[in-house]
Amino acid sequence: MSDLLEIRRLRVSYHTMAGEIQAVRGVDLSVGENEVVAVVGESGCGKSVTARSILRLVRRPAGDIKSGSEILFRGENVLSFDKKRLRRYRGGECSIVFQDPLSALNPTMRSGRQIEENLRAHSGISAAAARAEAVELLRRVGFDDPARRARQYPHELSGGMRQRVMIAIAFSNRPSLLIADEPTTALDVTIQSRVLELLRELQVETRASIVLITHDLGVVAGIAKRIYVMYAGRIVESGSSEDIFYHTAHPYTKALLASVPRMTMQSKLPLPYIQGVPPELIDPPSGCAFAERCALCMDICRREEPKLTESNGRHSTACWFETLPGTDGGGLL
Amino acid sequence: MSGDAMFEARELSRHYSTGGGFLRALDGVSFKIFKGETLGVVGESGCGKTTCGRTLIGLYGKTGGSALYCDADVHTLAGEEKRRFKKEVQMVFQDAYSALDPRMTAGDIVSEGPDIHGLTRTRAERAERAVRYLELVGLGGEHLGRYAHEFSGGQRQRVGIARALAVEPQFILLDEPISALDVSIQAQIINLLMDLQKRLGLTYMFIAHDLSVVRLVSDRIAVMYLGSVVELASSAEIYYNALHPYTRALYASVPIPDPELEMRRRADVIGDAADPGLRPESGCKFAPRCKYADGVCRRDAPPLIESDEGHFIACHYPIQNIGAAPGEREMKF
Ligand SMILES: Nc1ncnc2c1ncn2[C@@H]1O[C@H](COP(=O)(O)OP(=O)(O)OP(=O)(O)O)[C@@H](O)[C@H]1O
Ligand SMILES: Nc1ncnc2c1ncn2[C@@H]1O[C@H](COP(=O)(O)OP(=O)(O)OP(=O)(O)O)[C@@H](O)[C@H]1O
Ligand SMILES: [Mg+2]
Ligand SMILES: [Mg+2]
Repeated sequence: MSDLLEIRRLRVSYHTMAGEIQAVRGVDLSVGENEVVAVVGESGCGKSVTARSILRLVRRPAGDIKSGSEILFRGENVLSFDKKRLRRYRGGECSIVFQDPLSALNPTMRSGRQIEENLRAHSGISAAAARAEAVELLRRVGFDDPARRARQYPHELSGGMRQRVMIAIAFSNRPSLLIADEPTTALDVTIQSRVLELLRELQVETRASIVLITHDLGVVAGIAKRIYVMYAGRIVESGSSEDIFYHTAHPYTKALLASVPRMTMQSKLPLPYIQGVPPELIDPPSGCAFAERCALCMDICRREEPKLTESNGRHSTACWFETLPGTDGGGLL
Repeated sequence: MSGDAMFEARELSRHYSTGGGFLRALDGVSFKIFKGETLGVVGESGCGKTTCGRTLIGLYGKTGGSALYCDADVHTLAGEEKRRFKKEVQMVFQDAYSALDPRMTAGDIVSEGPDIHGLTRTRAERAERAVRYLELVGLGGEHLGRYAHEFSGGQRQRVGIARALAVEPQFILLDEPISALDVSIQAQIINLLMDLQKRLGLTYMFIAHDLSVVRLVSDRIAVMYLGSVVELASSAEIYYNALHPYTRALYASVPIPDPELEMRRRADVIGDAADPGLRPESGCKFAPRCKYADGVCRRDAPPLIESDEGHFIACHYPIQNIGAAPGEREMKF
């Protein structure tokens, strides 16, 4: 099966007063047809920049997708799309849901109208048909009174409702690929839970592929088939959900998993967390970026960058401890 | 725990007038906060947690009932008493970014309170004190001259905590202090807060929407729903023996960082609290979303009563004790 999306050697920098921030430093990532893939990692590791790159939303001249990067959508390089092709791709074949729906929605336009506009931008349907379809979409994302909601402005809706409007817009043209960048981070738990449920249902129904971006491993556990763990602009581990949760290889992934608050933890005791902070991306270290925070750090880790190495099927990790013969890691199993 | 109530809310209310009538944002709540404990407050967005905390410490006026600090009414404090109260009672906000003035250095921010309360006399003393409190929250003295916008989210939150601590308070209102941070930094801030509490004998009111976090830091937990406290008990009671269907629903909506358990977790689907249609005029406020509700629930609002020692609940049909919380624990069978 050929992949729907294939990212190869993606490198993205931002030029700032302080210097060049290497936000994404060589990411390879693929998404199959009808597949849900998650990208997880701490704040600032480059998740959103990767997401924006997929839709070519990185703004020049400050943002710079480096030459040599490839983003293939059904084999076509998105980075060389012309204007017309890009219009068909964005919002049609590929759409995005952001963390903060209030800033992503147009505050001066009724929610139904925003869905209609997106529908009409990508197909020749009539205004009346678009209006009916918008109401139907609002019903689909869980509004009991979709016709009334269609007439409301974003500020008249709660955070959870706005996110559902965003999802209705994103699914309006039945995209093949949906990028969801922290779609539930701004929401509280009961609403988060329902938004995730909705994404799951829509994914099954429309057979779209989803790239779900989050810092919370709890959020991806029930929905992602494969997971990429990102650190300081690179992928440090990738594999099936089972590999990542049950056969965790990279020390960073282990630390990230340990720091998720769990209902089974005892109260009033210190929580595990990851010591230290991620490195500056203006002058990234030459060795493993996680070395300074890693309990298993060896000499070589500070000197040389470990390559992402595949061991067991599609489970890969970039860690000297796991890949060097003679260390206790000695392979991924 | 007994006797030593630091704060007490008695039928405390705060109503807002809105277009058509008025909104009972805080609808007659009663509870105590004992010296040295952490009272957690949980509930969905818009249920009145912030209103509750701020009205309790007199930051917001009340429209009914009373708020007492060491038996004195906080809304009528004056003179020396008021001055002392303002020093002893501090607050940390959710959004550290907008709470800190970007044009002030960390040193100025931390020194503002001590300046107001005349705690330092010389410049050297002032700087020494600022460094001491920055170090207490794990930031080195070298951060003294840095501006708020130069800090990461987690660091900013530490500056906010240092600011609150610098006037040597007895009590801190923590309003979603970690909701905007990613998991690893959340754990660091929680540990810091618990450690400071132990060392300095502080009393906290800890507000959040996520029960999994609140449970870890709190001695007792108040669950709020649309302006009312619907359940209040020790952390352990809330965990092992939650009686209110809403508390159970809050539990069931926490995602589990384990794919097998998460796939089987099914959150009770409950509607959106922010929906005005789901704010009934009479009876139990949770009834429109409650699967156990009947005519009695829709007619009579259940009062908050003590069902077991120290376990308060407002429900006509409390869930029978099955000895286990739903969610992660239940699925361990
Ligand atoms: N417009 C920009 N200008 C300069 N630097 C940027 C810009 N956008 C992102 N960056 C930098 O690129 C890096 C990656 O940022 P990105 O937004 O992708 O992180 P993230 O993983 O999405 O984090 P979060 O979880 O906080 O959303 C960060 O160091 C960030 O400061
Ligand atoms: N100044 C105001 N005027 C009118 N209504 C208000 C005002 N402030 C708050 N409210 C309303 O009071 C209710 C309670 O708000 P509050 O901010 O206390 O909730 P919260 O539980 O802290 O929510 P969140 O988790 O989103 O912070 C909400 O319905 C809110 O819209
Ligand atoms: Mg991001
Ligand atoms: Mg609030």
